[in-house]
Amino acid sequence: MNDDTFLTDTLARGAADLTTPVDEIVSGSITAGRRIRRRRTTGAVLGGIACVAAVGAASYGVSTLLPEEKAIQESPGFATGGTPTESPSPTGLPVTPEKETPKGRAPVVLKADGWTCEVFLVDDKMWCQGPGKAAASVNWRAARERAMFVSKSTGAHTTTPMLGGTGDVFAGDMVAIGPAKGKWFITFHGVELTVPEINEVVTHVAWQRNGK
Amino acid sequence: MTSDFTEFVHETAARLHRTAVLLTADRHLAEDLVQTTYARLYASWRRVRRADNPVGYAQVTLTNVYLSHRRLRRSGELPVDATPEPTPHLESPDTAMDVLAALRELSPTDRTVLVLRYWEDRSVAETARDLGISETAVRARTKRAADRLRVRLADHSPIPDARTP
Repeated sequence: MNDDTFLTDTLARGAADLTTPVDEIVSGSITAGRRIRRRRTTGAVLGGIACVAAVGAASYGVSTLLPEEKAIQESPGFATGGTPTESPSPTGLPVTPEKETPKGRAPVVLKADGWTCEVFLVDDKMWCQGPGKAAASVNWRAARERAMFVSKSTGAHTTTPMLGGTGDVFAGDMVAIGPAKGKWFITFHGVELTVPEINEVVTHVAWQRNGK
Repeated sequence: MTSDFTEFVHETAARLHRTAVLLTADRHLAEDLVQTTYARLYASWRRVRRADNPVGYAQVTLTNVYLSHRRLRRSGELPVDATPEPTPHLESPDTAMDVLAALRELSPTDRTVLVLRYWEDRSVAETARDLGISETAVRARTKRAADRLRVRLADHSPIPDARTP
C-alpha cells in the first residue's frame, strides 16, 4: 500500500463511527456567536465613549490652563463646557449587558500549589499549567449536556469527589466530569497527568461565587 | 439569518467534526473546536454567507482555531531532547479509537499536515502556505508521519517516497 492510499484510508478510519451532535452545535455556537458580537459592539461603544471622554478631558485641561474665559471662547477646536457628557452609542442602541454576558471570570477556580490558570471566557474554558509538563483544559458547559457528555466518554470509568459532589473520570479520555450545579458542569481534561493525579488536582477546583 | 446559519451547520457539521477529530485526535476537544469555529462564523455570518466558498471558509477557520489552541498550549509546554519512541503496535488497529491513539503520538504539526493533505485534499503548496512552513518541510513531515503511523498501526508494507503535488 503506498503512502497516499495508506494515509487516506487511515484518516478515513480515524474519522469513522462519529455522531455529530448538530443540534447542540447549532445552539451552542449561536449563543457563543452572539456573545462575540456583543463584545465587539460593546468594545466599539466603549471605544467611542473613551474617545469622547478623552476629547472632553483635553478641552477641560486646556480650559484650566488658559487665563481668561474670553480666551476659552475664542479658542477654536475645543468644547467650552469643560465637562464631558455621555454620548449615545454609535449604533443608537443602549448598551446593556445581558444576563448571560460573562462577568469577567470563570465559574470555577483552581487553587493548587504549582498551578496557574489563564481564562478564555469567549471559549468557556481556562487553560491551567501545573508542575513540569502537567496541564489541563477546564471547560464549563451547560448542565443539560452532562449526561450526553458522560455517555460519549471512553475508557475505564471511576468516580472521584469534586466540587462538592461526585465526578466521573474516564481514563480513555483522561477527563474528569464534575457534578452539575445550577446551569453548569465542568470537564477537566488532563494533559501529562495520570488518573490518580487528575483525581487529586480536581479536589482543588472550586465554584466561584457570582461567577458566570 | 439564524435559519440560514442553522441550515449551513446541518449541511457542514459532520464533515467539519471529522476534520476536527483528526486534527486533535481527541473527540471532546474536537467538539469544542467545532463549536468555537461555528461561533466565529455566526458572529460574522453576514460576511461569511456572501463568501464565494463558505464551506472552505469554515474549514480554514477550523484550522486557525485549532492552531490558536495549539499556540495557547505551546506557551506552557517545555522542550524535550527527543520525541519519545512510539509504543508497540496496537493489538487491533482497525477501530477509529486505535487510529486516533496512533494520531495522538504524532506532533500536532505533523498531524495537521496529514489532515490538510490527505483529508482536506490540499496540495503541498497550499498546506505549506496555510501552516507557514516550507514545501520541503511539508513533504518531510508527511513522510515521517506516514512512517510512524505504519509502525504504530503495524502495517509492514513498503513505504515509498512521500506524495508529490
